[in-house]
Amino acid sequence: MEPKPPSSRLAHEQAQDLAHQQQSRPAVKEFATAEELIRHDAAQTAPPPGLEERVKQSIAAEPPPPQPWWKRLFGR
Amino acid sequence: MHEAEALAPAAPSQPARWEESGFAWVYAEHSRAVYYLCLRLLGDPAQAEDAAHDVFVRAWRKFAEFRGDAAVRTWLYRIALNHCRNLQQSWNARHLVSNADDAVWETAVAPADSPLRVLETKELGQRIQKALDALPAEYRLILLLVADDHLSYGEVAALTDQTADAVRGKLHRARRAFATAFAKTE
Repeated sequence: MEPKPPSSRLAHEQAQDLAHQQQSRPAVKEFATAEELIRHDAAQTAPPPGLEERVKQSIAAEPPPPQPWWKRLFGR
Repeated sequence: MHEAEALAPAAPSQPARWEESGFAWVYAEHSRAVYYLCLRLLGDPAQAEDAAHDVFVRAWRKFAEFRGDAAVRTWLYRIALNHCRNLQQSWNARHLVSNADDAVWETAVAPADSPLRVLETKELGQRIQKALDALPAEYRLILLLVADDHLSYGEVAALTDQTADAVRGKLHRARRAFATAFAKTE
């Protein structure tokens, strides 16, 4: 029969378990309004990494943009 | 060079399209917000990526005409809202999707002033999406726009075609509706 661990060791293991549980438990956050929660979510949400390259490639394939308004206005 | 030319921002030109046109800055500054708005309006990451791509390509086409009457963020949001609205309309026409019943939310019982306590989990975004999807389109849009620190109430009002006072009034009801819908996602 396996001997019981000494009580001090048991207490130490229990404390370690508790600390581990607390570390792995997701944090509770409080938001005063829906917008605050959405703002937080937006800050955590990055655009897909490939999006910028897609936009760059599409723009490279676009015909030259029309002259800006200030060039048309001043005829140059 | 004409004085107006010297003062005006550099126009996009064929060889130097991305960096020198200033559009790289526009993308870097606003892509996160535009993508997020598309994501929460469409509810699907792949559709949102396509929509955000289309928004920036359309913005590029109009970039030379952008006169700075509105802030860049507002200008991009207007393009994004029109584009997402068109996508949703064609989707709804094909699938006969009905909108949430606005009247139900007028009697939503959740107090608007009580804080929202949430667990920081991977599912938080999905819960927010579910709650937003359950709201009338107008409430969803007002919450998403007001959540953007870059926009004033006046700009939110302009983007939603109403007065700033109307936005403030609806915001209170939108908060309450969101709190009720969000509680149901637990």
